[in-house]
Amino acid sequence: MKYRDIVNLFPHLPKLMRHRMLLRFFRCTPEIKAEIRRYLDTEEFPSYRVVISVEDKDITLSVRSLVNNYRMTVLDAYLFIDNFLQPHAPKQELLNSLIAIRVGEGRPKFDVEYLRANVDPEVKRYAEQLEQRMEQEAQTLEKEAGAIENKDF
Amino acid sequence: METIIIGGVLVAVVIAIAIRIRQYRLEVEQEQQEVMEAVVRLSQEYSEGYSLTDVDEILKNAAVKCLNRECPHGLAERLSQYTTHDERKDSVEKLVYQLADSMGVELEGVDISDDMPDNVLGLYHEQGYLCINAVVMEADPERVLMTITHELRHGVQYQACLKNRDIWGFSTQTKAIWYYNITHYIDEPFEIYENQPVEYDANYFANEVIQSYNSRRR
Repeated sequence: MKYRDIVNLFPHLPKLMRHRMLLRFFRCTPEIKAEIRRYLDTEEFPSYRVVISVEDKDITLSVRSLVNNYRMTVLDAYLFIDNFLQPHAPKQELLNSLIAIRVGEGRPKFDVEYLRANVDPEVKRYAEQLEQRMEQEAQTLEKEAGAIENKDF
Repeated sequence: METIIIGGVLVAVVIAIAIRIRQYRLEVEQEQQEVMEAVVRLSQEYSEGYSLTDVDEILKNAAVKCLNRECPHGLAERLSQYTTHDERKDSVEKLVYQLADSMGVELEGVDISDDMPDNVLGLYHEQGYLCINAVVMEADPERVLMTITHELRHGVQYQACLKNRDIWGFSTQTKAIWYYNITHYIDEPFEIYENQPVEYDANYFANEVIQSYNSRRR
Protein backbone atom coordinates (compact mmCIF):
# COMPACT_ATOMS: atom_id res chain seq x y z
CA MET A 1 0.00 0.00 0.00
CA LYS A 2 1.36 3.39 -1.04
CA TYR A 3 0.62 6.84 0.37
CA ARG A 4 -1.04 7.55 -2.97
CA ASP A 5 -3.66 4.91 -2.19
CA ILE A 6 -4.51 6.63 1.09
CA VAL A 7 -4.96 10.14 -0.30
CA ASN A 8 -6.92 8.76 -3.24
CA LEU A 9 -9.61 8.05 -0.65
CA PHE A 10 -10.27 11.82 -0.67
CA PRO A 11 -10.88 12.54 -4.37
CA HIS A 12 -12.95 15.66 -3.61
CA LEU A 13 -10.09 17.57 -2.01
CA PRO A 14 -8.44 20.46 -3.87
CA LYS A 15 -4.78 19.75 -4.71
CA LEU A 16 -3.29 21.81 -1.93
CA MET A 17 -5.50 20.13 0.68
CA ARG A 18 -4.63 16.76 -0.82
CA HIS A 19 -0.95 17.56 -0.29
CA ARG A 20 -1.74 18.52 3.29
CA MET A 21 -3.46 15.21 3.92
CA LEU A 22 -0.56 13.38 2.34
CA LEU A 23 1.82 15.09 4.71
CA ARG A 24 -0.50 14.39 7.61
CA PHE A 25 -0.51 10.65 6.94
CA PHE A 26 3.25 10.79 6.39
CA ARG A 27 3.65 12.26 9.88
CA CYS A 28 1.50 9.63 11.60
CA THR A 29 3.07 7.66 14.41
CA PRO A 30 4.17 4.12 13.46
CA GLU A 31 1.47 2.74 15.77
CA ILE A 32 -1.35 4.54 13.98
CA LYS A 33 0.10 3.76 10.53
CA ALA A 34 0.06 0.08 11.42
CA GLU A 35 -3.55 0.38 12.63
CA ILE A 36 -4.64 2.18 9.46
CA ARG A 37 -2.93 -0.42 7.28
CA ARG A 38 -4.69 -3.19 9.18
CA TYR A 39 -8.06 -1.45 8.84
CA LEU A 40 -7.69 -0.82 5.10
CA ASP A 41 -6.46 -4.36 4.48
CA THR A 42 -9.15 -6.16 6.48
CA GLU A 43 -11.99 -3.57 6.34
CA GLU A 44 -12.96 -4.75 9.81
CA PHE A 45 -14.28 -2.11 12.18
CA PRO A 46 -11.35 -1.31 14.48
CA SER A 47 -11.44 -2.05 18.17
CA TYR A 48 -8.43 0.21 18.67
CA ARG A 49 -8.40 2.22 21.87
CA VAL A 50 -5.77 4.10 23.78
CA VAL A 51 -5.52 5.57 27.27
CA ILE A 52 -4.07 9.06 27.42
CA SER A 53 -3.13 11.11 30.46
CA VAL A 54 -4.37 14.67 30.51
CA GLU A 55 -3.56 16.68 33.62
CA ASP A 56 -3.31 13.61 35.86
CA LYS A 57 -6.51 12.10 34.51
CA ASP A 58 -6.60 8.99 32.36
CA ILE A 59 -8.97 9.23 29.43
CA THR A 60 -9.78 6.40 27.06
CA LEU A 61 -10.11 7.31 23.40
CA SER A 62 -11.41 4.73 20.98
CA VAL A 63 -12.10 4.72 17.29
CA ARG A 64 -15.57 3.38 18.05
CA SER A 65 -16.51 6.23 20.39
CA LEU A 66 -15.23 8.88 17.98
CA VAL A 67 -17.14 7.34 15.11
CA ASN A 68 -20.35 6.79 17.07
CA ASN A 69 -20.43 9.95 19.17
CA TYR A 70 -18.85 12.43 16.81
CA ARG A 71 -19.67 10.78 13.50
CA MET A 72 -16.08 10.84 12.38
CA THR A 73 -14.98 8.40 9.73
CA VAL A 74 -12.61 5.65 10.88
CA LEU A 75 -9.64 7.42 9.27
CA ASP A 76 -10.64 10.71 10.89
CA ALA A 77 -10.77 8.95 14.25
CA TYR A 78 -7.32 7.43 13.77
CA LEU A 79 -5.85 10.81 12.85
CA PHE A 80 -7.58 12.46 15.80
CA ILE A 81 -6.09 9.88 18.18
CA ASP A 82 -2.73 10.21 16.44
CA ASN A 83 -2.69 13.89 17.40
CA PHE A 84 -2.57 12.80 21.06
CA LEU A 85 0.29 10.41 20.38
CA GLN A 86 2.52 12.98 18.74
CA PRO A 87 5.44 14.37 20.79
CA HIS A 88 4.46 17.52 22.72
CA ALA A 89 0.78 17.09 21.84
CA PRO A 90 -1.45 19.83 23.30
CA LYS A 91 -3.73 17.20 24.83
CA GLN A 92 -6.05 19.49 26.77
CA GLU A 93 -6.54 21.69 23.72
CA LEU A 94 -7.30 18.62 21.62
CA LEU A 95 -9.88 17.43 24.12
CA ASN A 96 -11.47 20.88 24.15
CA SER A 97 -11.76 20.73 20.39
CA LEU A 98 -14.11 17.79 20.75
CA ILE A 99 -16.65 20.08 22.42
CA ALA A 100 -16.76 22.32 19.39
CA ILE A 101 -17.16 19.55 16.84
CA ARG A 102 -20.08 20.05 14.54
CA VAL A 103 -21.21 16.87 12.91
CA GLY A 104 -23.08 16.12 9.72
CA GLU A 105 -26.22 18.16 9.63
CA GLY A 106 -24.84 20.55 12.23
CA ARG A 107 -22.39 22.12 9.86
CA PRO A 108 -23.25 25.58 8.59
CA LYS A 109 -25.35 25.81 5.48
CA PHE A 110 -24.24 29.00 3.85
CA ASP A 111 -26.22 30.26 0.88
CA VAL A 112 -23.27 30.03 -1.48
CA GLU A 113 -25.15 31.09 -4.61
CA TYR A 114 -26.48 34.23 -2.94
CA LEU A 115 -23.01 35.01 -1.65
CA ARG A 116 -21.44 34.55 -5.08
CA ALA A 117 -24.02 36.91 -6.59
CA ASN A 118 -23.71 39.57 -3.90
CA VAL A 119 -20.12 39.42 -2.77
CA ASP A 120 -18.13 42.61 -2.37
CA PRO A 121 -16.32 42.89 -5.77
CA GLU A 122 -13.04 43.75 -4.08
CA VAL A 123 -13.29 40.64 -1.90
CA LYS A 124 -14.07 38.55 -4.96
CA ARG A 125 -11.12 39.91 -6.91
CA TYR A 126 -8.82 39.25 -3.97
CA ALA A 127 -10.20 35.74 -3.54
CA GLU A 128 -9.63 35.01 -7.24
CA GLN A 129 -5.98 35.99 -6.86
CA LEU A 130 -5.86 33.81 -3.77
CA GLU A 131 -7.19 30.86 -5.72
CA GLN A 132 -4.67 31.36 -8.55
CA ARG A 133 -1.81 31.54 -6.09
CA MET A 134 -3.04 28.42 -4.31
CA GLU A 135 -3.10 26.57 -7.61
CA GLN A 136 0.44 27.73 -8.36
CA GLU A 137 1.58 26.67 -4.93
CA ALA A 138 -0.07 23.28 -5.36
CA GLN A 139 1.82 22.90 -8.65
CA THR A 140 5.14 23.72 -7.03
CA LEU A 141 4.47 21.15 -4.31
CA GLU A 142 3.56 18.51 -6.88
CA LYS A 143 7.13 17.16 -7.11
CA GLU A 144 7.57 16.87 -3.34
CA ALA A 145 4.13 15.29 -3.00
CA GLY A 146 4.97 12.84 -5.77
CA ALA A 147 8.05 11.70 -3.89
CA ILE A 148 5.94 10.80 -0.85
CA GLU A 149 2.98 9.41 -2.77
CA ASN A 150 5.00 6.57 -4.21
CA LYS A 151 6.48 5.47 -0.91
CA ASP A 152 5.07 2.50 0.98
CA PHE A 153 2.66 3.52 3.70
CA MET B 1 13.73 79.94 -23.66
CA GLU B 2 10.65 78.18 -24.98
CA THR B 3 12.65 74.99 -25.47
CA ILE B 4 13.86 75.13 -21.88
CA ILE B 5 10.30 75.55 -20.57
CA ILE B 6 8.97 72.71 -22.70
CA GLY B 7 11.93 70.58 -21.64
CA GLY B 8 11.26 71.41 -17.98
CA VAL B 9 7.58 70.54 -18.31
CA LEU B 10 8.45 67.28 -20.03
CA VAL B 11 10.92 66.36 -17.29
CA ALA B 12 8.30 67.16 -14.64
CA VAL B 13 5.71 65.03 -16.43
CA VAL B 14 8.17 62.15 -16.77
CA ILE B 15 9.07 62.38 -13.07
CA ALA B 16 5.40 62.47 -12.11
CA ILE B 17 4.68 59.42 -14.25
CA ALA B 18 7.70 57.61 -12.81
CA ILE B 19 6.51 58.36 -9.27
CA ARG B 20 3.01 57.12 -10.11
CA ILE B 21 4.41 53.94 -11.70
CA ARG B 22 6.55 53.31 -8.62
CA GLN B 23 3.53 53.84 -6.34
CA TYR B 24 1.48 51.49 -8.49
CA ARG B 25 4.22 48.83 -8.40
CA LEU B 26 4.48 49.16 -4.63
CA GLU B 27 0.71 48.79 -4.29
CA VAL B 28 0.73 45.72 -6.56
CA GLU B 29 3.69 44.23 -4.66
CA GLN B 30 1.95 44.85 -1.35
CA GLU B 31 -1.24 43.25 -2.59
CA GLN B 32 0.70 40.26 -3.95
CA GLN B 33 2.48 39.95 -0.62
CA GLU B 34 -0.84 39.96 1.23
CA VAL B 35 -2.23 37.33 -1.13
CA MET B 36 0.84 35.17 -0.54
CA GLU B 37 0.41 35.51 3.22
CA ALA B 38 -3.20 34.46 2.83
CA VAL B 39 -2.15 31.44 0.78
CA VAL B 40 0.34 30.44 3.46
CA ARG B 41 -2.37 30.72 6.09
CA LEU B 42 -4.73 28.62 4.02
CA SER B 43 -2.29 25.94 2.97
CA GLN B 44 -0.59 25.45 6.31
CA GLU B 45 -2.38 25.05 9.59
CA TYR B 46 -4.75 28.00 9.77
CA SER B 47 -4.29 27.94 13.53
CA GLU B 48 -0.60 28.88 13.41
CA GLY B 49 -0.17 32.31 14.91
CA TYR B 50 -3.91 33.00 14.92
CA SER B 51 -5.10 35.80 17.18
CA LEU B 52 -7.93 38.30 17.47
CA THR B 53 -7.57 41.55 15.54
CA ASP B 54 -8.69 44.93 16.89
CA VAL B 55 -11.97 44.50 15.01
CA ASP B 56 -12.48 41.09 16.65
CA GLU B 57 -11.71 42.52 20.09
CA ILE B 58 -14.44 45.15 19.70
CA LEU B 59 -16.87 42.46 18.62
CA LYS B 60 -15.82 40.18 21.47
CA ASN B 61 -16.28 42.92 24.06
CA ALA B 62 -19.74 43.71 22.71
CA ALA B 63 -20.72 40.05 22.99
CA VAL B 64 -19.30 39.66 26.50
CA LYS B 65 -21.06 42.85 27.62
CA CYS B 66 -24.36 41.50 26.31
CA LEU B 67 -23.89 38.13 28.02
CA ASN B 68 -22.98 39.82 31.30
CA ARG B 69 -26.09 41.95 31.09
CA GLU B 70 -28.48 39.20 30.05
CA CYS B 71 -26.98 36.26 31.95
CA PRO B 72 -25.00 37.74 34.84
CA HIS B 73 -24.98 34.37 36.65
CA GLY B 74 -24.91 32.03 33.68
CA LEU B 75 -27.52 30.68 31.31
CA ALA B 76 -28.52 27.88 33.70
CA GLU B 77 -29.50 30.45 36.31
CA ARG B 78 -31.43 32.48 33.72
CA LEU B 79 -33.35 29.41 32.62
CA SER B 80 -34.06 28.29 36.19
CA GLN B 81 -36.50 31.19 36.48
CA TYR B 82 -38.87 29.43 34.10
CA THR B 83 -40.96 26.38 34.79
CA THR B 84 -41.81 25.09 31.33
CA HIS B 85 -39.68 23.93 28.41
CA ASP B 86 -41.40 26.39 26.05
CA GLU B 87 -40.66 29.31 28.35
CA ARG B 88 -37.00 28.35 28.46
CA LYS B 89 -36.94 28.07 24.67
CA ASP B 90 -38.45 31.56 24.41
CA SER B 91 -35.81 32.86 26.79
CA VAL B 92 -32.96 31.38 24.75
CA GLU B 93 -34.50 32.67 21.52
CA LYS B 94 -34.64 36.15 23.01
CA LEU B 95 -31.03 35.83 24.12
CA VAL B 96 -29.94 34.80 20.60
CA TYR B 97 -31.56 37.93 19.16
CA GLN B 98 -29.98 40.12 21.84
CA LEU B 99 -26.54 38.66 21.26
CA ALA B 100 -26.96 38.92 17.48
CA ASP B 101 -27.96 42.56 17.90
CA SER B 102 -24.91 43.31 20.04
CA MET B 103 -22.65 41.66 17.43
CA GLY B 104 -24.39 43.37 14.50
CA VAL B 105 -25.58 40.11 12.93
CA GLU B 106 -28.85 40.32 11.04
CA LEU B 107 -31.01 37.28 11.74
CA GLU B 108 -34.03 36.26 9.71
CA GLY B 109 -35.13 33.73 12.28
CA VAL B 110 -34.21 31.61 15.29
CA ASP B 111 -35.34 28.07 15.88
CA ILE B 112 -34.81 26.42 19.26
CA SER B 113 -35.52 23.00 17.90
CA ASP B 114 -36.67 19.81 19.63
CA ASP B 115 -35.96 17.77 16.51
CA MET B 116 -32.20 18.06 16.06
CA PRO B 117 -29.95 15.01 16.51
CA ASP B 118 -28.44 14.79 20.01
CA ASN B 119 -24.92 15.41 18.87
CA VAL B 120 -25.75 18.51 16.83
CA LEU B 121 -25.58 21.55 19.06
CA GLY B 122 -26.70 24.17 16.60
CA LEU B 123 -26.21 25.48 13.11
CA TYR B 124 -26.16 28.62 11.02
CA HIS B 125 -28.50 28.10 8.13
CA GLU B 126 -28.84 29.91 4.79
CA GLN B 127 -29.44 33.64 4.99
CA GLY B 128 -29.47 34.29 8.69
CA TYR B 129 -31.39 31.43 10.29
CA LEU B 130 -29.92 30.09 13.47
CA CYS B 131 -30.96 26.77 15.01
CA ILE B 132 -30.16 25.63 18.53
CA ASN B 133 -30.73 22.14 19.90
CA ALA B 134 -33.40 22.44 22.64
CA VAL B 135 -32.37 19.13 24.21
CA VAL B 136 -28.80 20.35 24.69
CA MET B 137 -30.24 23.64 25.99
CA GLU B 138 -31.90 21.69 28.82
CA ALA B 139 -29.02 19.30 29.46
CA ASP B 140 -26.06 21.65 29.20
CA PRO B 141 -27.06 25.33 29.02
CA GLU B 142 -23.51 26.68 29.37
CA ARG B 143 -22.44 24.72 26.31
CA VAL B 144 -25.27 26.33 24.39
CA LEU B 145 -23.75 29.77 24.96
CA MET B 146 -20.61 28.61 23.17
CA THR B 147 -22.74 27.24 20.34
CA ILE B 148 -24.76 30.44 19.94
CA THR B 149 -21.58 32.53 19.81
CA HIS B 150 -19.98 30.12 17.32
CA GLU B 151 -22.99 30.18 15.02
CA LEU B 152 -23.35 33.96 15.21
CA ARG B 153 -19.70 34.28 14.21
CA HIS B 154 -20.59 32.37 11.05
CA GLY B 155 -23.22 35.07 10.52
CA VAL B 156 -20.52 37.73 10.85
CA GLN B 157 -18.27 35.93 8.34
CA TYR B 158 -21.06 35.53 5.80
CA GLN B 159 -22.41 39.06 6.15
CA ALA B 160 -18.96 40.68 6.05
CA CYS B 161 -18.28 39.24 2.60
CA LEU B 162 -21.43 40.76 1.08
CA LYS B 163 -21.32 44.06 -0.78
CA ASN B 164 -21.76 47.03 1.59
CA ARG B 165 -22.55 44.77 4.54
CA ASP B 166 -19.25 44.78 6.41
CA ILE B 167 -20.23 47.08 9.27
CA TRP B 168 -17.23 45.93 11.33
CA GLY B 169 -14.31 46.83 9.04
CA PHE B 170 -12.59 43.48 8.50
CA SER B 171 -9.56 43.52 6.20
CA THR B 172 -10.05 42.51 2.57
CA GLN B 173 -7.58 39.67 3.17
CA THR B 174 -9.66 38.23 6.01
CA LYS B 175 -12.89 38.52 4.03
CA ALA B 176 -11.31 36.97 0.93
CA ILE B 177 -10.16 33.98 2.99
CA TRP B 178 -13.68 33.58 4.41
CA TYR B 179 -15.28 33.99 1.00
CA TYR B 180 -12.96 31.48 -0.61
CA ASN B 181 -13.58 29.03 2.23
CA ILE B 182 -17.37 29.42 2.24
CA THR B 183 -17.47 28.85 -1.52
CA HIS B 184 -15.09 25.87 -1.15
CA TYR B 185 -16.37 24.48 2.16
CA ILE B 186 -14.96 21.08 3.10
CA ASP B 187 -17.04 18.61 5.16
CA GLU B 188 -14.42 15.91 5.43
CA PRO B 189 -11.85 14.72 6.31
CA PHE B 190 -12.10 16.02 9.83
CA GLU B 191 -8.45 17.21 9.87
CA ILE B 192 -9.16 19.62 7.05
CA TYR B 193 -12.68 20.43 8.22
CA GLU B 194 -11.78 21.61 11.69
CA ASN B 195 -8.83 23.68 10.51
CA GLN B 196 -10.57 25.41 7.64
CA PRO B 197 -10.67 29.16 8.22
CA VAL B 198 -14.37 29.76 8.94
CA GLU B 199 -14.55 26.88 11.43
CA TYR B 200 -11.28 27.61 13.15
CA ASP B 201 -12.18 31.29 13.37
CA ALA B 202 -15.68 30.59 14.75
CA ASN B 203 -14.30 28.23 17.40
CA TYR B 204 -11.51 30.59 18.33
CA PHE B 205 -13.83 33.57 18.61
CA ALA B 206 -16.45 31.67 20.64
CA ASN B 207 -13.77 30.37 23.01
CA GLU B 208 -12.43 33.87 23.56
CA VAL B 209 -15.89 35.27 24.27
CA ILE B 210 -16.91 32.52 26.69
CA GLN B 211 -13.57 32.54 28.52
CA SER B 212 -13.80 36.29 28.99
CA TYR B 213 -17.45 36.04 30.07
CA ASN B 214 -16.67 33.28 32.59
CA SER B 215 -13.68 35.13 34.02
CA ARG B 216 -15.79 38.22 34.67
CA ARG B 217 -18.49 36.14 36.35
CA ARG B 218 -16.05 34.60 38.88
